[in-house]
Amino acid sequence: MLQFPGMTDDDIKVFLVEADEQLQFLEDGLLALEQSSDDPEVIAQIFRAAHTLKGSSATLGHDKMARLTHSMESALDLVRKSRIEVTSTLMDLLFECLDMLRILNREISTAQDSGADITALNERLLDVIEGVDGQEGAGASTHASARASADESACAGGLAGPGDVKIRVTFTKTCPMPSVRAYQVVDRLSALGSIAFSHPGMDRIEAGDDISDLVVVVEYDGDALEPLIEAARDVSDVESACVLQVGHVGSTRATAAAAAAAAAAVASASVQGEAAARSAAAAGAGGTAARAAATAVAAPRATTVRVDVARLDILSNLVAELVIDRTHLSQVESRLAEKHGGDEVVSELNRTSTHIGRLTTELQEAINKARMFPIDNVFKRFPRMVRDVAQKQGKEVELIIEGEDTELDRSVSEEIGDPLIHLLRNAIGHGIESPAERAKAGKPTRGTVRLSAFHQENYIVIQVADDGRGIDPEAIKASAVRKGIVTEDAAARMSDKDAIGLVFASGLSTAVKADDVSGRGVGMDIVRKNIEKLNGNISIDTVLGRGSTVTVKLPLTLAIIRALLVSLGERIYAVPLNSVREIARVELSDIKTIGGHEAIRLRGDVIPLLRLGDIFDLRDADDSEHASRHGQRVFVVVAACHEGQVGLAVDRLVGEMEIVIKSLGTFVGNVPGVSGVTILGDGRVALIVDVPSLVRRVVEERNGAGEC
Amino acid sequence: MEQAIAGAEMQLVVFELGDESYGVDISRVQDINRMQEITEIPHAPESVVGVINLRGRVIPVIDLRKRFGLSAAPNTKDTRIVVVHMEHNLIGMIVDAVSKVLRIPADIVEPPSPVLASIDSSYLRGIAKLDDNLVVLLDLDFVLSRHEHEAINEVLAEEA
Repeated sequence: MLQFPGMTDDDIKVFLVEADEQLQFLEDGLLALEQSSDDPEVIAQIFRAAHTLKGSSATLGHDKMARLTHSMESALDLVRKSRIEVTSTLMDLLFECLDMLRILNREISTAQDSGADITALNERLLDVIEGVDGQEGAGASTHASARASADESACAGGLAGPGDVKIRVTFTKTCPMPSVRAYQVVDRLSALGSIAFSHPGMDRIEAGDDISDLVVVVEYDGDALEPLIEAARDVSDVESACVLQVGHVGSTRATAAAAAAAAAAVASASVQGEAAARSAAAAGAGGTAARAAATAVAAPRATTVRVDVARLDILSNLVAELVIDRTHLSQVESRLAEKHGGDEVVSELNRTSTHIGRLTTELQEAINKARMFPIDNVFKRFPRMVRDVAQKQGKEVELIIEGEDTELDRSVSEEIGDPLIHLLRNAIGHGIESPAERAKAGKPTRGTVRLSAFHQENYIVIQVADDGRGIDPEAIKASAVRKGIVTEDAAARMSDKDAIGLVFASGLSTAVKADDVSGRGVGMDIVRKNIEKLNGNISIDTVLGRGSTVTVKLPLTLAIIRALLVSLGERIYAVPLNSVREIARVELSDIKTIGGHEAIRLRGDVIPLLRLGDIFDLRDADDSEHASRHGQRVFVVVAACHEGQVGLAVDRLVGEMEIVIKSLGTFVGNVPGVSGVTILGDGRVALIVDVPSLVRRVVEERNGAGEC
Repeated sequence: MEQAIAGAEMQLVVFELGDESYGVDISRVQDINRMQEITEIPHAPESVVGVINLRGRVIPVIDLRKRFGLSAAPNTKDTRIVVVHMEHNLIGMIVDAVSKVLRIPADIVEPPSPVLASIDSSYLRGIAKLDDNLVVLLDLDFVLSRHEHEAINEVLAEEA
C-alpha cells in the first residue's frame, strides 16, 4: 500500500489526470523526435513534460518518479543544448523510461507498490549525462550546473508554476476572530502552493491581531485559479476572495530559469496553451525569459471543467425523461384542442408546449454534445504501438492519422480502442510486407498505414488502410477448407467477395504462426462481434498486391440509436435500424415451411421467418399472433447482420424513432435475443431486439436440424 | 447496552399480502407506485414479472405473492409497487396494498417463528407483535437474492 502523506484523494486524482496528460505529451514528443531528431520545438515539448512530471511527482512525494524524471530532464536538457545527439540508443532508453513512468504512474493510481526498480535506468541516464562530461573537459561545469538547476527546482516542489498569485481576502465585519480565519485561509492556501508572502505577516496573524483583510502571495502551479479562490472562500466569515495579480509578484525568484520553467509549465498545462508555449519558447530564445513568462500567463486559459461521467449520465437520463413528458404534454394538448378548440387557454398551452418542446430538443442536443470528445483520445496511443510492432517485425511503417478531431460519444470511444488495436496489428502483421519484399514488388520500402475517422450521417466511420499485400481470396479459401470452416465444394463456388468475408469466421487465420503480432489470441471474429455489440458494422475492401482497407461504422453514441418500432399484439419492440435491410409485405400463402421452420422467399433469397412471440415465449391470452396469422398478409422486417438475415413477422409498423438504450440491469441479467430496453414516448418500456443473436440462433438451430 | 436496544426505534413501511402484514425498513424504500403497465421480459425467472419505467430508470418488478408461493390475486385499486434498494439496484415488489408507516420500539421484535407466518421463515428477519396485529419483518436481501437460487434451480430443472 502506497501512501502519500498530506495528500487527499482529490490531490492524487488531480495528479493522475495531469500525469496522464504529460505522459502522453512525452510519448508524442518522443515519437516525433524519432522522426526529426533536431526539431527544437519537439525537444522542448519533451523537456517540459519531464519537467512538469518531476515537479508534480516531487510535490506528491513519489520519490522514484521524481528521481527518474529528474535524470531524464537533465539528459534532455543536454539534448536541448545540442550537447548530446539523438541516437537510436538514446531513443530506446527514453522509451524505456517512458514505460517505467507508466508503471510508476500505475503505482500511484492503484496505490500499490509495483516493486519496479528505476536504478538501472537512472544509471544509464547518468551515463549519458556523464558521457558528455567525459567528452569535453569544459563540459563538467555545464553538467554540474544543469544538475544543480534541475535539483533546485525539484527541491522547491511546485515551483514550476505560472509563478505567483496574489490574492486578497476580506473578512466580514461581524467576524469574531478574523486572525483565526486569516490563519485558516493561509493554511488552506498553503495546501495548494507554498506561501511566499502575506500581509499582515504570519507573526501578526498568529499573535491574534485584529485584521480586516489579508493579502497572500502563493506560489502556485495549478492551471486554474478557481481552486485557490474556492479554498479561501471555504473558510467561514470570508466576505470575498479575489485574485489581484498573476505573474511574478515577488522579485526574489524571478530568475530567467525559473521564469522559463514557469512559462513552460503553464503552457503545457492546457492544450490551448500550446500556442503560448511556442511563443514563449520563441520569446525565450530571442528576448528575456521573464517576458516569455508574462506572455504565457497572459495567454487565454482553458475554460474547461472536468465532470464525472456519472453526473452526465444522470443529466442524460433526466433529459430523456423530459423528452417523454414533452411528448405526453403535446398529446394532452392536442386532445384538449379537439375538445375545446379555439379556446384562448388551449392556444396559450399550445404556445408554451411548443416552446418547451424546442427547449427540450436543444437541451438534449447540448447534453449529447457534452458527452462527446475527439477520437484523438483513442488514436493517440496508437503511434507508439505501431512503432513497437513494426520494429519487432522488422518492418518499416508510417502511420498517418486523419480526422483525429472527429467527435464521438465517450461510451463508444471506450469500447473502440481494442478492436482498432487489433486492426492496426493486422495491417502491420499481415498487410505490410517486409522492406525487401516491398522493394521487389516495386513499392517504397516504407509501408503506410492510414488511420482515419470521419462522420457520415449519424455514424462515425473509422478506416484502417494499408498499402500492403492485400488479401488473397484463394489463400483464404484454402485455409478455410483446411480448417473445416467450409467444404471444398462450397469454397470452389464462393465468390471472391464472400471468400474475403471468411476472415471474419472464427478460427481462421492466414498467419503462418501465432506470433506476438497476432496478439492476445483474438481474431477478426471477435473484432466483428465487438463492433456489432456496439450496433456497428465492419467490412473489408482489398486489392491483391495493393493493400486492404477495413471500414468500421459505428453509431455516434451507444446510448441513442435509431430504431424501427414494430408491434405484435399489445407489445412493442424496437429493431435497431442499422440492421434493418428492408420491410416486405408477404402473402400468407408465400410463407413456406422448410424442415419444420417457416421461411419466405424474397427475390430468390430464402429467408428464415421468426415470430418474436414464439422466440420470447410471450403471448397474450387471446394470442397476439392472431392478426398476423389470420390476415391475408403480414409485414416482414428483414433484419441482417454479418452472419445472415432473418425475417421478423410483425403485426404493425409503428414508426421510426431515436431511442435511448437502457440496460436491463444486473438483477434481470442477460436475456437472449434482447440487447436492452428503451422507454417509449408514452412512458412504456419496449424490448430492443438483438438481431445478431437471433441470426446466430437461427443459423445454429437450422444447421443443427439440417444435419440431423 | 441493553438499554440502548430497548430505546431503539424502527420505522417500517407496512404492506399487505393476503391476510398478513409485512414490514420493511423505511430507509430501504425508494418509492411507492400505483400499479402500472409492466413490460414482460422473456425467459426471466418466474417471479420477475417484468420491468417498469420509474422516472427514466428501468426497474425490474417481482411478484411477492409468487415469490412467497402464495396464490395469485387479481390487481385491485389498492395494488402497489413498492420500489426498494437492493445493493446498487432498485427493485419493485408488487404487494396487495400499502397500509401505513409505523414506528415501533425495536424490543417488540421477536425472532421469526414458522408458526406465526405462512411464508418460508428464511425470508424473515423477525416478527413485531403489536396490540392489534402482527407485522412480519422481511429480510429484503434474502427475499431478493433468492432470485439467483431460483434461476439456478430453473436451469437445473430444465436439464433434468
